[in-house]
Amino acid sequence: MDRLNGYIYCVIDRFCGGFCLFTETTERKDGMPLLEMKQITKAFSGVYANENVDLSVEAGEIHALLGENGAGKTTLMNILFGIYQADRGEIYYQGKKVEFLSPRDAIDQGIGMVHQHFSLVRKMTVLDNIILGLESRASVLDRKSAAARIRELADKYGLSVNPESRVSELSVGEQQRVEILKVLYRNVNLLILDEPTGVLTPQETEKFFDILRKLKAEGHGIIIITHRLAEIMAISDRVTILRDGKAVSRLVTAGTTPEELSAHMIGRELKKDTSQREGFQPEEMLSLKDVSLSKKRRKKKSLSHVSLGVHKGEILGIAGVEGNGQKELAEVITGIRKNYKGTMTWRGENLAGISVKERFRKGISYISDDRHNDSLIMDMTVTDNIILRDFDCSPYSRWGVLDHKKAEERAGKALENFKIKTSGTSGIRTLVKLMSGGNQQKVILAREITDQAGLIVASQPTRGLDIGATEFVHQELLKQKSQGKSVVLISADLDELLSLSDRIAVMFAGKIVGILDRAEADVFKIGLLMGGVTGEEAAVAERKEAAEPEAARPENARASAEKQETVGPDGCRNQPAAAGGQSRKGGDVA
Amino acid sequence: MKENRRERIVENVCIAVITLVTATVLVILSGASPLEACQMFFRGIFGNLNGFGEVFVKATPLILTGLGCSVAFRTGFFNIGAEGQFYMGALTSTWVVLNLTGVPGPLRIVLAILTGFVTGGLWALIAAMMKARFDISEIIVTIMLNYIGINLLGIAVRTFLMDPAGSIPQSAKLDASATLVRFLKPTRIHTGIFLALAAVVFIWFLMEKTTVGYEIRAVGFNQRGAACNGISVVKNIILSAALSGGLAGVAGAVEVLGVQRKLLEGISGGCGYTAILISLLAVNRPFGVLVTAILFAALSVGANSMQRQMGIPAAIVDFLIGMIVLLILGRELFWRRAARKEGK
Amino acid sequence: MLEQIFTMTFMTAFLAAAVRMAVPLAYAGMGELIAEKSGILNIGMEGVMLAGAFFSFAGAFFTGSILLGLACGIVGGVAVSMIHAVLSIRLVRDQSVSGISLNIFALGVTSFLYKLMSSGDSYKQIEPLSRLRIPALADIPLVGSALFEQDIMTYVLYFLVVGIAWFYAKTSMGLSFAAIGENPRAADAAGIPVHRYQYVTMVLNGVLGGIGGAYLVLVQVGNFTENMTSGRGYIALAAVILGRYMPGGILAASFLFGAANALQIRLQAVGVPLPPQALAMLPYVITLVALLTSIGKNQKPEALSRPYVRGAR
Repeated sequence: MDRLNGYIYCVIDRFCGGFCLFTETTERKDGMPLLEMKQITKAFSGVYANENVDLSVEAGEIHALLGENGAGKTTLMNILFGIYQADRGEIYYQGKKVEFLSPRDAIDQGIGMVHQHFSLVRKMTVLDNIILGLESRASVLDRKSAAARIRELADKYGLSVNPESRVSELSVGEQQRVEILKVLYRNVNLLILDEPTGVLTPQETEKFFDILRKLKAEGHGIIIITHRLAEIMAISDRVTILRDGKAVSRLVTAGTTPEELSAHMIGRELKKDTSQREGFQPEEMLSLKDVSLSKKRRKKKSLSHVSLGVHKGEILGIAGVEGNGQKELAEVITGIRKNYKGTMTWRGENLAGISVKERFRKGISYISDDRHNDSLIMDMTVTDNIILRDFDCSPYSRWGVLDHKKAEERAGKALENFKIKTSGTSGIRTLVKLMSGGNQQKVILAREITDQAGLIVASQPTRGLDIGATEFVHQELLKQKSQGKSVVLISADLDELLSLSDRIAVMFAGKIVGILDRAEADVFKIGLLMGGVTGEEAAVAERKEAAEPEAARPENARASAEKQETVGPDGCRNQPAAAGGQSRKGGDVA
Repeated sequence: MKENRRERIVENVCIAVITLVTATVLVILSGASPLEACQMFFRGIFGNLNGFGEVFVKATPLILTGLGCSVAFRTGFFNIGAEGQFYMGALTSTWVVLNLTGVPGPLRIVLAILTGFVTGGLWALIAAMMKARFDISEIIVTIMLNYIGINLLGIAVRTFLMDPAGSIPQSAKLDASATLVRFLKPTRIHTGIFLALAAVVFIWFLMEKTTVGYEIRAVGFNQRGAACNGISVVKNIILSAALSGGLAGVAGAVEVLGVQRKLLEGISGGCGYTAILISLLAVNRPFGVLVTAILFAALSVGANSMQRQMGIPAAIVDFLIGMIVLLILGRELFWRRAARKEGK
Repeated sequence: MLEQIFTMTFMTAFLAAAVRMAVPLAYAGMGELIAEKSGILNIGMEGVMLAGAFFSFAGAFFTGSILLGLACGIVGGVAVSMIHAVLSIRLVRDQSVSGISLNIFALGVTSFLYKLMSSGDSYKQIEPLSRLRIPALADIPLVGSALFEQDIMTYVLYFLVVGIAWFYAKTSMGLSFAAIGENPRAADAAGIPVHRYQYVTMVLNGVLGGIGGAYLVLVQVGNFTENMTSGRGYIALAAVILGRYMPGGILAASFLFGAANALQIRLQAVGVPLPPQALAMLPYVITLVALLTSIGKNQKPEALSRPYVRGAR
């Protein structure tokens, strides 16, 4: 009925020369949420990205969706937005059952999404970007009235932006405002924002939150996907936490704490590895002082004043949600990215101006997270990949001529030592692209972990590997440590970090927000840091934890959550803390 | 894996069948009998020594330019400029032979060929630098350079290289001592064929057995991977371009020194463009180029025979070859599924 | 001799010839612009033009009607463009490889078919399209005759340029088409049918390129010769770049190249003692220079020749 009212209003409004401006004509039926997703299940190639997920969002609510990489947040939202269709489950929007077969359907119903990576045409103006695709026939554009309407919307929500400017001239914060305007222009009443503050400075984030508050006041529903705990606390009304594809908790923000959120997000007890381990030696081998890396066209730096030291015989773990600067850190250390500020020294020698090749010769090895693009030449053989780093040195070549025999010898040894299995019978002549992920990784290890290597930068080294291969990699890294080499281990797998690292540095927004010793690190502290709750706050949280030991344990946190949850139509689902479960390998499935 | 091979075979059979059917249709359209045409075709190649020898004469420039294209294509540098590089090589080598009369014959030949190599390489380098520095499409640049090269030769044979004794646009005849020996009379086969064969072996060796070739191949397969492991992408693209142009330049020099024995217009016979197809069909492999070039040369000889004896336009070969390449590009259409790749 | 060049008669004739030389380039340039603005690079434009030239000749010769000839030329052009479209959009083949192969194929086909047509008789000719003089405007000194004493195809071109410019600047559909070439993912997210629109642009590419080729036969020369396009398709590609991807700019660039062509012919007619090849080189040299001056200011669509696959978003 209110839809009809809405339509009539639109017709009258359009008749009077303007576009339909959505106001509070939607009367919220009391008790009926704006959006309800029930038992959403979606699998890709047999792996569940979402499993029986329930989500409910009210109009005038800011609802946060929290979870680690691969927890299923983006998949869920993609289903809502019509990019995928769920295998099972139902979606109810404004009380009606809906199914979205494409983003167009979702937009037409009033759901808008602002992706993590903007969908803006840089060369075009703000105005053109906003009206893009709105009218399908070859109608002449009425830019004047569109501009007027945009200015209206902009003023209303505090989204100051000039419709005539080109998107390429805008700052990232302004571009984001354009994305939001795009969505508002199409009369959406539910906005989905995917990691919106990842590219914003703290000041821009504040402005952004003001905009959200205004939207909320106007009765829009907002879903914000984020891993930033402080922001969830600051802006959201309720939080739904996903873990391993399932919705594990639903909490009211006012009644919870970052620690609790973090605990739910990670959800396990630490497997305290109490085995005796030697520490590391005091000599600092790699040292980064105040290293910064800026991206062009971004105010925000990819790396911001990073200072780190890696010692002899140390495994330094780097934790953090992907996209917070880890890849840039790896590339700066290995020499792939060159234009950085600050100083980096290796074995006392300044690395400025030293090429990738030279760094390798000086002992810096790299195991990239993007195996297929960065570390391997997929269409070449095992042998060719094994000598990729030093094909131009003896004994693999002399006077420019390759010595295949020597190369094959090395490859053969590598197959043996690292137990690499090649599919088929071609052995070292097998093309790498035909091998399994685990064996491909072993090829990389065999190449990078040489006697001359002094520093091994390993990024997500066990991603996508089976248990046996994972174990192998772990043992290899530990072996290197015991031989006095240094390792920088970047990983999204907290268990891996905790069991291997001597110290763990946590990255957030391009900064090192905390460095924990092995003894004092636990999943819970790391989780806080990963969420951007900085060192001091983490310390405060710890003190709180010490004072209230009962409340902070994950099981107890669950209990208090139950008390504070709103009564929804189907009650919350909580999973018992998975005993000894591995966190999911693999990046975001979506 | 087996599925793939089975599919491939079916596709190739389809392509072969379509080609044969089209060829038959075209021959009939030309007003000739397909069986007779077939006979004439093979008789032209194998029927007498002349024809058979002509295959190798035609193959020589095709092998060299094809090799050139293959080297460039392996790094993703689309050298469409083999024509122009051919002509520049022909031009400068002629100049060397005609003007360095003091130098003894064999040495002059060597110098001429070297000059052809260098000139062709430089001609290709222009495009490579424009690509490397300014990101200007090498396709357009090399094609423009083709026409410029053709016209430069046209100017040359009308001005500073023109035969003073004659009045047509061509150079003076080259000294017999400074030309490549024809060793199988009465055919026109000349020692240039050995140079071409040597080039095949050389390029094969370079690509498979040396660090230079290794880098070129790595860059061609995965630019980012190569760069992440310390290989310079720009250097290798430029190197492959220069080498590619050099080979085409040698083709030009050899054609002048061995076949024409003077410089005139049109001596490329379009081999610079044919070389592109040869390289594509041979998947950029040196020995594949050798075989494909000889095949193309044979086709050309056979087609000429058909044209002479039966009036079937020789362009039938270009038609069919072009069609084969397109069929290979579009072979997935034989299967009725949408051949959309999954994006990463 | 210089006095001969800087006379009104020479200049007027020169400009008129320049416009005539420019028209096929401009048509092809417009066709290429439409394709490139939606992300498809058609290096096969040379083949499109050649097909347009041959089939328009064959059509006009066998039917006696220039209009039917033009229609045949258009069909020929579209056929070539659509092969490229299928290879590039549906099969996601490398657009450069597909384009070059098409050129060589078109050359083979047209040469073969022409030889068939003309077997025996060496020279086939048709009556070219006559000029249409626009009174008053054509009397403007110097440029009047060049611009307004041309055939009808030239006049259509003027309207076409304006129309295309208006389409991209002022219509919703034009905006959508342009967005596809810049950021196909954004266009898809906005509900624009990316692949369908790309096929449409390729049809237009074939039509306009075919007309460009047909013009050579139906208006300029009156007959067909093997490879008569001689690289004009590639020059059209350069014209698009030089013209900064704007219809008016492409027209101007085409005029520049046409002028270089015309200059060669006129200078020869006057008897300038340069070998014709020196002047024949001019358009190609100018193209290179033009490309060099376009660096940095390159307005090419960001997603040009990068195929769009709706992959994992």
